[in-house]
Amino acid sequence: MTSTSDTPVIVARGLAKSYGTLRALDGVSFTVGAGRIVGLIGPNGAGKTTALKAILGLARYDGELSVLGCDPARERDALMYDVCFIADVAVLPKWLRVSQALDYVAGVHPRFDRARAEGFLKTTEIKSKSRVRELSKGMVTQLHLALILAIDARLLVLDEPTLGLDLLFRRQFYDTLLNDYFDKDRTILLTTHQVEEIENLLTDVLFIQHGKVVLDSAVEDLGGRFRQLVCAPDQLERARALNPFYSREIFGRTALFFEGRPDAELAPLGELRTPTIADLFVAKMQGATA
Amino acid sequence: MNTMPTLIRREFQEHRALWLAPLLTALPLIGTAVFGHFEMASMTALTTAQARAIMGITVWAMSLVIFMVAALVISVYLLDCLYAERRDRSVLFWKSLPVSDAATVLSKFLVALVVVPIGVFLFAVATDLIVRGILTARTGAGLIAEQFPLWDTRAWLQTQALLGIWVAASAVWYAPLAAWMLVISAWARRSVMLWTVLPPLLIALIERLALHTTHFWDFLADRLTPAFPALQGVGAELMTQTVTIHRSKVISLPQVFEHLDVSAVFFNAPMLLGLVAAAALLYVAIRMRRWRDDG
Repeated sequence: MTSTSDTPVIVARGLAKSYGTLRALDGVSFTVGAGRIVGLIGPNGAGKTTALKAILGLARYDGELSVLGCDPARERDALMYDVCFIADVAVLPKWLRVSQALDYVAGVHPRFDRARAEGFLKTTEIKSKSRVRELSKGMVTQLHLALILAIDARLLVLDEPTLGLDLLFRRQFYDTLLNDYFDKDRTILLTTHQVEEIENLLTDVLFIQHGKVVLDSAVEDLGGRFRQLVCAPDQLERARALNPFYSREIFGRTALFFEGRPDAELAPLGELRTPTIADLFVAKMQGATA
Repeated sequence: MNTMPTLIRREFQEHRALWLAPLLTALPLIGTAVFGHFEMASMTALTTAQARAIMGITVWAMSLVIFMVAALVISVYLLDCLYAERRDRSVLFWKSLPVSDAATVLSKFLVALVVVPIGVFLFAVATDLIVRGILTARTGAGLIAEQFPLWDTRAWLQTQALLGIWVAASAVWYAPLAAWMLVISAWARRSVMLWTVLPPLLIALIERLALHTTHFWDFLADRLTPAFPALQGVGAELMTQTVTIHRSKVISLPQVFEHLDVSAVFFNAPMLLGLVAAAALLYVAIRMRRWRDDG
């Protein structure tokens, strides 16, 4: 918790939302501090987008929710001066010209730095006369990113921002985000399927499944809490007796996942390490359904 | 930071028909003036009143073509403007910026009922002047016969003023209809046109079947009549201010203007109630855009 200021950016208490009989969000509570990069991670239909929509004031919800001290349902107009989001790639309208997009954002957003957006666009192959329909999917994302990153917002929400992009664009997207945008006063909340690619980016993870939070932790605390043990076959019985919450066969060896077991207990049984976020995600999701 | 002008400019960038269609409509008018052949020998020896009536008719005819095209593109625009952004999901981009739903919906309403009508009216005035200029030049050059009605500044200004009032009155008169279109545009998942037309027709039908009355149908028919005849007192003026030319009665628009009670055009119950209804429907459209969740 290096740079968390006193007031949290997002506070959710018993956040809930139903679509008919489906409980998309089932009493979710969490807090996001300032200067954090939080990954909201969950399988399809877990409620990620529903949670983001509530945070952005795009959909109604039950429970308590405060974003930068505002109620997003009632105070959305004020909130949007400080919050930015990329809901999806390719939501820029096809008819829009690059220059028109810059004019528009400059016209409506007091904290948009046009020179900064233009500077970023100069590093790409995007021409200011082009219409969105003439750009590749990767270029549309670059354009969207250029617009958003030039806005001095306090909270940036990204919902699957790199969906359908190739690896080069994905890598560039996150590099730009981290190098050119992120600082201690800004908070980023993002969802993605490509968990491996953002492992090193995140400061916090929030796993969500069936509308419930299954893990809420700072990344730096994961190592102390979760251990992955790659077990020698002769030690497997003893290791299983220690109640792993998930196990998985890899090349004839077994990887066991433990929560809250001291290293002293596990170390003699095999090779011990901190699981990656991706492994932990699979373990948590499958462990819960097993 | 210049939110409303920015929003309005955006509408013309997306919906280019709003300015392209009137522009293109003027081309055949100007083309006719340049290349047309006119036989107006029968227009000789007119009285002043007759000449003024003809001045009015010619202004009216030229503007009417442009106004009708504008009315059509405005209708298409109103049905599309809040639907298109949901269809291509760009609403998520627009909503990521600090622009309230009220400002967005209002900007579209203003474009349809204020900006485009004023622009189209001024454009029609300019077109009229260009066409008359060309015809005058051709007459001067001896290319066409001289009998084209002579210029009458007063009659021309009176007719244009009457048309200006008509455009303004139409904007007020159709405000509830425009707001209704915005509601449907913000709400319908598909078939915006169908949803705009069907519910009112169904209400009229149900009333007819259940109560054997046609009040709602009459109300609709009244609202959809072109604004002028439906307006307080104006219809009567139109009928009485006529001039006889060659044994046919011709309405003299400059004369109508002279007898028109302008305040009566705007300050009457149907006009004001229409504005109240428009405000209520706009509120619905704003709420609809605020909370419509297309998943």
